[in-house]
This record gives sequence, C-alpha cells and structure tokens, in this order.
Amino acid sequence: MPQVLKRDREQFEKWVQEYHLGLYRHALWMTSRSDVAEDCVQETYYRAWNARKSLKDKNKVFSWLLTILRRTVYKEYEQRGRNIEFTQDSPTDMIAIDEYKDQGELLDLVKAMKTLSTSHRDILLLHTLHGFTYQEISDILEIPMGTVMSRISRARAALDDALNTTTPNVKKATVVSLKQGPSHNE
Amino acid sequence: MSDDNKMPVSDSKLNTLFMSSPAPVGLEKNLKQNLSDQIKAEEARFSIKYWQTGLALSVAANVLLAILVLAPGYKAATVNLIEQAYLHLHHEIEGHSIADNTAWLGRRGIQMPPHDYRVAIAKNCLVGTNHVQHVRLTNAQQQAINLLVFSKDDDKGFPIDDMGEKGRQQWIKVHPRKDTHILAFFDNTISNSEVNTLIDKMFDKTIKYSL
Repeated sequence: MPQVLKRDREQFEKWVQEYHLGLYRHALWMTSRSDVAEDCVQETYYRAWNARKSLKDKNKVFSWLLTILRRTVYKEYEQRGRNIEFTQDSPTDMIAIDEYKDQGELLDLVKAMKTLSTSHRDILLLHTLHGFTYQEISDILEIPMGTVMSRISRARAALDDALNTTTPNVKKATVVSLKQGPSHNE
Repeated sequence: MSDDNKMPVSDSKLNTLFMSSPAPVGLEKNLKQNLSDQIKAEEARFSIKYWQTGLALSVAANVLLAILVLAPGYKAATVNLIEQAYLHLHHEIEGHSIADNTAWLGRRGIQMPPHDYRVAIAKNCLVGTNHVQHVRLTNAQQQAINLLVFSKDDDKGFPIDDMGEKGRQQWIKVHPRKDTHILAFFDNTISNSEVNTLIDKMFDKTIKYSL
C-alpha cells in the first residue's frame, strides 16, 4: 500500500472512532430510524473518503463530516419522501434503555421532535446536540448569524410548545444557553 | 398546566436526552470494515489503471521506436529502388531493346493501351533483385511512359513512397490490383491523372488473360 494511502487510512480510522457516534445521533434524530441513520453514517464515511482531498482544515473534520452527513440525510428525505416515519410505536431505536432510565422523557422528546420541520430539527441538533456556536452554525449552514439565531429561537419555541402541549414527562428547567457544548463524539 | 410547566427545557437537558441514544452494536467495526473494503477496491482500480497506462505507454513507445527504426529504412528503400529503376530505364532506352510482339501483354493480363499510345517496349526485366515487366508506351508527341510492373502480394512487399521525381522524370506508385504494383516513370509534360487513367484502362481489377 502506498505510504499516502496508509496514512489516510489511519487518519480515517481515527475519525471513525472519534466521530461516528455524533454523526449517528444526528442522523438518528433527523430520521428517527436507526437503520436509515446507520446507512447515512456509512454513506457519509464512504463519500468522505472519496472526497478526502477536499478537506481544507483538519481542525474542522467533524464539521466537514457533519456537512456530508446532513446532505446524505436530506438526500434520504428526497428519495424516501418527506415522511420518514418516526418509530413511535417501537421507540427503542431512540431510547438507551440501559443508559437512560427515564424513558418517558425521551419518548416525549421523540414525539415533540416529530412535530418540527426538518430545518428546525437540523439546526436544533447542531446547536444542542453538538454544541456548535452560532458562528459555527452560520459557517456550516452558510447563512447569516442573525438567521441562525432567529431560526434556533423559533425551533426551540416550536419544540417547547410541542413538549408543553403533548408531552408531560420532560422535566422543565431554567433556560441555560449552551453556546459551547459538549464534545462531538460523546 | 401551570406557568412553571410552560418554562422551556434547558439546552443541557436537551443535550442529555439527545446524547442518550445508543449507537448500534458494531457500527464502528462495520464502518472500519467498509473503509477497508473501499480502500482495497480503490487499490485494485489504481492497479488496473496503472497497468493500462503502462501498457498504453509501452505500445506507444514501441510504435515510436518502430517509426524511428523503420522510417530511415523506408526512405532508403524508396531511394534505392527508384535509383535502380531509373538506371534500368535509361539503359533500356539506350539499348533499344524493343519487344516485337505486343501479344506478350495479353498473356500477362495487361490490356492494350488507348489508341494514342503505342507499346514501344514490353519485356521481362530485372530491377535490382526484382523481377518486373517493363512496358514502355509512347505517343505521337514523343512523350513516354515507362511502367515497371511488380508482382507483390501487398504493400508490405512494396514499401516505398507514393510519388517523386528522378532526373527529368516524375514517378508514381500505383496499386491497380491486389497482387500488382506499378512504378510509372513519365515525362514532366504528362500529368499524374493521365498516367493513372491509362493504367486503369490497361490493368483491370479482374485480370483478363489473352493468348
């Protein structure tokens, strides 16, 4: 194997290890189907490998992978139709039985997320699941930061409405703005 | 629902909920295996591509080499044969070795020339190492066309240029039949097309022998 290919492979295996979970969770909350999410992650790494020369900044690998994933998910939407069914009747896809004891809260969130538009779900995950800042989201989505802020605000409002209206289980708490969130892999 | 119940969920709470979804068992392993397969396929494609490129370059190099090696030989063959033919024709003209029987042509499947030409020479000759039939045609204006008829199976046996000049004569190579090549020498006052027309009339595609 050529040295460059070997080096790229080692790098990619490291990126699989570090980022696959973050990517999978994004795809899962977007599609609410574990099989579709898994396919999307596999497709993402496949495309990423083929396009590895297009990666400009290795400090932004996750953003780059996430962009590929999001495009893959949107492509899934186009191919399968707007309504990739939420697994409402069998929510075990979405629920970590062993890791998260309060399944009721999680199920409420699943239901509430279902009511959001795709773009609201997407931007909410960027902000709340991955912890990207407004500026980072602005760069990822290539939209002005003001638009990012207003869109997140509307997405949150829509989610809160959905949770308040339909789901009694999620415990309410004081608003904590999460500008710099948790690490992307876990 | 109380006011307290209408308070929004915190980002950190949402984050905890979002993060609580498990990954499928073996996803990381599958992804690494897919990557490995993808790289192997890529390597295989590269191998084929390089092999094809190498083969193409090799063929191109050989063709180039053949041209470089054969082109001078091809040129030398042309010069050599034309030189020999020209000297032979010069000798024949000086020697006045005129054939007395034009029926000789018919026995070799060659038609008689148009009426404005007469057969001045028709005989077997040796040009270099080539056995040829020499037919000399003249007209009332004392213009002359010398046809040296080579019996060769194909162009490989007759590797010379298509036309040229030698002394005061022009010459062209004509391939009227599958097994026949003709070197035609003629005066500068005669056109190539006239010679070609004449040869077409004398050398039918289908050989018609006459005794």
